[in-house]
Amino acid sequence: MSGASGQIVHRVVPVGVYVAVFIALLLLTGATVWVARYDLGAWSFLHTPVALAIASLKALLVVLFFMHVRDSERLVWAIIAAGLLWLALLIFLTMGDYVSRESVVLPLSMSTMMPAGQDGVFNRRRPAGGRPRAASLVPQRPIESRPPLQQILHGPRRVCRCAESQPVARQR
Amino acid sequence: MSVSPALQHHFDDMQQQSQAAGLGMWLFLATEIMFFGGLFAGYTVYRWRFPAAFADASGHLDVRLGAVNTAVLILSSLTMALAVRAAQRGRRRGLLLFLIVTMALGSVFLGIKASEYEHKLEEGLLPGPGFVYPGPQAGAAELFFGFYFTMTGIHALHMVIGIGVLAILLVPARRGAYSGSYFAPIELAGLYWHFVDIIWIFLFPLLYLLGQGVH
Repeated sequence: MSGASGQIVHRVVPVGVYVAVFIALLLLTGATVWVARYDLGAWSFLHTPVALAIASLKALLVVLFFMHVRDSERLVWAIIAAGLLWLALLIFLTMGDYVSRESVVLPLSMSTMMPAGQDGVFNRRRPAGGRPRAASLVPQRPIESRPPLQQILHGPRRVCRCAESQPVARQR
Repeated sequence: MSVSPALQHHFDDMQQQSQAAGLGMWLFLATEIMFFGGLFAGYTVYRWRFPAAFADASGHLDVRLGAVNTAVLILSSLTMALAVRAAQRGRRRGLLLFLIVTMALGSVFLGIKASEYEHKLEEGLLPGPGFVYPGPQAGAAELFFGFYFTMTGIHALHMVIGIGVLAILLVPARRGAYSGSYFAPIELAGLYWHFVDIIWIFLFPLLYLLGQGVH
């Protein structure tokens, strides 16, 4: 197994190290509560990045010291890196889709090729009755409200169909 | 190297055996990252969509209880790490003590969580037909509480499983089965416990602290 040569396995970590990590974790917890309540004014959009940075630092301390990854072989590091890589792919690709829906511009040929009634996954499932879905991601739009074919064919480059009626605006 | 009675025949030595056990546990934890990752990704999407409603709904959570629970869980991680250390050094009584303290702290966490749930249920904040929300954008707030109950509920389920695992390990620990040459079960249970702690480290700011800056 790689990385095993010359390495002290099962190193017994001094109690002081664990207690120091524990105190650091408590202080960081206090810091994250304090920052969350602090009025950052125009910089208030930094609340979440700072909170996530502190949480990541806490997680790093737990992983390195409590979970002994500092003394683990490289293969363990690789498994953790793979897990985090896939987590990043999951979140960033998902958000890349949702965030960019307002601004995607398709060439005319592509936007007219979509069959009727299949503008997007969310528009296809339309509740027959019952209470309206308050939180569907793309606003529902009747098929009739689409521009006539002539307008589509002779118009200039246009914003893709999924965004033309009502943009997926963030609600305030 | 003297042959430990715990060495299985398909491993060369104890070092190889414990490394294989650790690798297997880490592979499992990687799948756990993805398991919770789906929830975190869903949370991110809807929070991006309804930032104000999510912040407003978050203000209904009790930050004090959340922070106390964070501290309780961090303390339980410390005692879990000390339990592993006691096992490494073959201290039977120390191991038993720290395992029991860890389980007790886990139970305190679950107790505080249960009282929080009870409060939320009384206020009608459980998503579903009986959902009552005082502010605007009740639909988006319902989504927030859907994420709150699902994420903390699955986290609590992991805590229950963790306490169960520690309870099972008490028996061989009492018998003195663990020593410096063999303590893999304690080490692996510790990895699981710390992982569940890390999940909470992220849940706390994302769920509880979100509404703090708004008010």
